[in-house]
Amino acid sequence: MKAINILKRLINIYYYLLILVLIAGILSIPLLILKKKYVVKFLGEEVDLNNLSSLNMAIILILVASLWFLYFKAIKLLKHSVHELSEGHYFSKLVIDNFKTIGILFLICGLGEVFAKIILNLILKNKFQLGIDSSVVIFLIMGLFFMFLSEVFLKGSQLEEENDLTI
Amino acid sequence: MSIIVNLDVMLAKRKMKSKDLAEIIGITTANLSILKSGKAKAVRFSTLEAICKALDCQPSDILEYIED
Repeated sequence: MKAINILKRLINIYYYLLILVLIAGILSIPLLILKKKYVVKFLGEEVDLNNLSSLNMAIILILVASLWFLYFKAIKLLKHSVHELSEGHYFSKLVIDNFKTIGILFLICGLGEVFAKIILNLILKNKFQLGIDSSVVIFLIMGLFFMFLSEVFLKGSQLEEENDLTI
Repeated sequence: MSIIVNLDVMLAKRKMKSKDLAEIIGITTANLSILKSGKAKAVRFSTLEAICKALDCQPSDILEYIED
């Protein structure tokens, strides 16, 4: 089996697992609001919902949900791109545009995680703490890599067009 | 583009059809059409040689430079 087919299946499985997580997340929000007896983990920080005001809880939920949706969108675009690549359309506009968008989304996820951790620390510990760990760096690296990959594919597309128009 | 392809003129002079020329030089009629319409980005020497041989002409009879 070709590597692209294995990658396609793996990303498909991961994508559908993310959908399950999304459903579980949506279902758990009313429980969190009603019960308020949960200690949940957001971005590696344990959050005791009993000690949070409604405003703070809303801020944390919006931050985490926004980052999660951006990540989900990036994985969805990756799924479409890998499907396109597996069909043999290596230099299509869809792949080039998707890779660029994925790169931007990963960068936003990385920077957003730093921002979210600062906010979490301000809310939970009442102190300013810059939380840069390996996951943030990985997001930034992946984001820049995908943006570069988009440029490479754009160059490839131009070369392919030139080759097609060489008689 | 400032390079003009006068293939139509040469074909008319030799009273040859595009389809026949494409067949002789071994390219598709679609590619010959791209060449005739000036949409081609480049021409291989081997293609040019085959066209010149088939039409019994010089490259300058087919290609012309006109300043923009």
